[in-house]
Amino acid sequence: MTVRPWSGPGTPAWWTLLLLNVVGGGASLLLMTLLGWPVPRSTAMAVGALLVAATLFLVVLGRWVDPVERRPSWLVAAAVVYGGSGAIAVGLGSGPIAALMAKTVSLEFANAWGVAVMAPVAEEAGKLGGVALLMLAARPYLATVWSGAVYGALVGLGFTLVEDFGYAASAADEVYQDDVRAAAELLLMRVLTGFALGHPLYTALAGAGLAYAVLRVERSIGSRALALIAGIGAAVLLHALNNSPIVGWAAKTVDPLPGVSGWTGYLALIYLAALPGLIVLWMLRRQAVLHGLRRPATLGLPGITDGDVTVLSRWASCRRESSALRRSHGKQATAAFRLLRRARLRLCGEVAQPYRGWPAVLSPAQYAPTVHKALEEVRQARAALEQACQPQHAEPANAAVASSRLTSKAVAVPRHPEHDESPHPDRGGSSHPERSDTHEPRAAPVGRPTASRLVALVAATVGYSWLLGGLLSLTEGS
Amino acid sequence: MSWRNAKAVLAVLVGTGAVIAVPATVNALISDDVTLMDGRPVDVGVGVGVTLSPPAGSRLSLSDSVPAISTVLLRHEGATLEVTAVSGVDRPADFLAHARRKLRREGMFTVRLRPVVTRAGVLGERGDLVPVPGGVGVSGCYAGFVADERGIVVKISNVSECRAVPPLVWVAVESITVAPEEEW
Repeated sequence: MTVRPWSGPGTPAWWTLLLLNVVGGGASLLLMTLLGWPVPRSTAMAVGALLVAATLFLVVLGRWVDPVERRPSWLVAAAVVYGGSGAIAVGLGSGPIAALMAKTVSLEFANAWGVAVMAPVAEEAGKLGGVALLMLAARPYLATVWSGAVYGALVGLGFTLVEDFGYAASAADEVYQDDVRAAAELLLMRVLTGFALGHPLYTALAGAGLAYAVLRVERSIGSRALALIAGIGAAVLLHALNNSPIVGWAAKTVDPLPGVSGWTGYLALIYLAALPGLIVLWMLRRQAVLHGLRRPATLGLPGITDGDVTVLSRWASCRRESSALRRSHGKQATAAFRLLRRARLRLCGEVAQPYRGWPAVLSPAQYAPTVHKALEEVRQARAALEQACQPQHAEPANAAVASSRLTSKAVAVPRHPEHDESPHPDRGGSSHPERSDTHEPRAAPVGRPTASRLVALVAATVGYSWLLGGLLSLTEGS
Repeated sequence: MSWRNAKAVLAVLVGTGAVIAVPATVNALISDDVTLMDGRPVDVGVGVGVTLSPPAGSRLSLSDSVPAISTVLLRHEGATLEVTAVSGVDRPADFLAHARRKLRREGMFTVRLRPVVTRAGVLGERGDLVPVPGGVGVSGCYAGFVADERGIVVKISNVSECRAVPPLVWVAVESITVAPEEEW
């Protein structure tokens, strides 16, 4: 098999996405300006609040939810801009669906169920189209099912930002002139009830289904089609539920209960419905994290051993190790441990993403300068940890922990087709002489949620809905 | 590779476009207006609690009646009646002033304002709509009502002024009632 350098501008999808984002982004900005112009104070408030919410979302996504793979900023921006422009344009064209419902069934039916049908169908199609374009335009960056979910979430983020702004500006202009309070109430309600669990979740599920159908070529056509239908179906159904009168009925049912507001029923229904989707995404994430952490070793690079994977893949293990080091060797060792963790995650990220169109690692002997730099950082961080652990006498257990971080050896010269005339691996590359810990690719075991965990999760969701419902009813009351 | 990519892009664009183009085409093929039976009340939006009873033979525009923004559009004797209802109005004078301001933004002045009351006792105002010179506005009649924290704005177009509104259309405006709002 010949490895060819990938080139974004070499694909029609890349140019299509660029064109859609430039034209659509401009149109979207114009629309937002027209909506926001009559309500300047509310616009300033809404833009500020949504920027804060979007920043928090991106930080949480990039730092904790998706820590291994490095997402290029241009692709992240393309996904968010498409969500706020192309997908919005498709969503705006959904009016005839409700009109058709009124004509073929009745106006009452269209009044009650119109938004529960027209919005999910058109908006989810528009957003999924964006994920498909992203996959076609930047295929090497969307190499896992989890990547499909992540870029889906980003498209959903762009969509929800523009939609929420539109609703806030309309609310500010609906009853009084530049009603900041109405806009703030609407934004608070939308951000608390559905910012991350709304459009980002829907499109993440649909994107994961699409990525599975496209990437898992080793699976049967039937299972891939099923995954696609399941992903899109989950997105449409969750969206439809959120817009349907069913949530109103849930609220009405719960409202008369003492100490519970209608919001609790509303939120509990939405959150509980989102729970299975979140669990599926969590399992995909875990699989992707394990795969990403094992990838350097799988490709024959040093730097991360099986033991490290266990520690790096779980926050709790990381915290435990960090605390143990702090107790035995002090703050300096903890800081060095964190640096080493960051360097290893960076190594995994660099290995996963292409370097100037080429795979970052062609063979244990041929890899990108970015990978070399990351390996060097791992080596330095490991040396720093070793140094931090030396002055004191470690407890046996912690000494073992520390020494396990020091087993891998450093790597030497980076070699990559762009910088090097050496034979291409397809035509016979050599293995790295200093490679010490090669691992065979393994299926990543993914922890499945147990029944007791599920019960705890459901209880926590209901409790959270109750708390948030109380907060929202207080806000309404004031 | 490029051709394959181009074909896939085309398939994505066509597929996405079809989701909105197909319903729009089918919708365009079906008649837009529906003739209403005598006395049958029409809800203005969902859960807002505002209804009106259009005269016999009125035609309800199904495409332009948007439940999401509580708007109903009726046609009778050449006049077009657009009714929009909102909730959460606790300062009636400010709401009516803002309704007139929004009409001015659309290119119409409201002149010769005078008080008006519906058969159900809902208080409000009405006035003629005069297009702003050089603007895109049209002549017509405006009416605004506030009751029980609900605000209703009525815009009658295809007439020169309020006095030219067909009596049966004005009967429909006066039939507006405000019932208790559904909380959920």
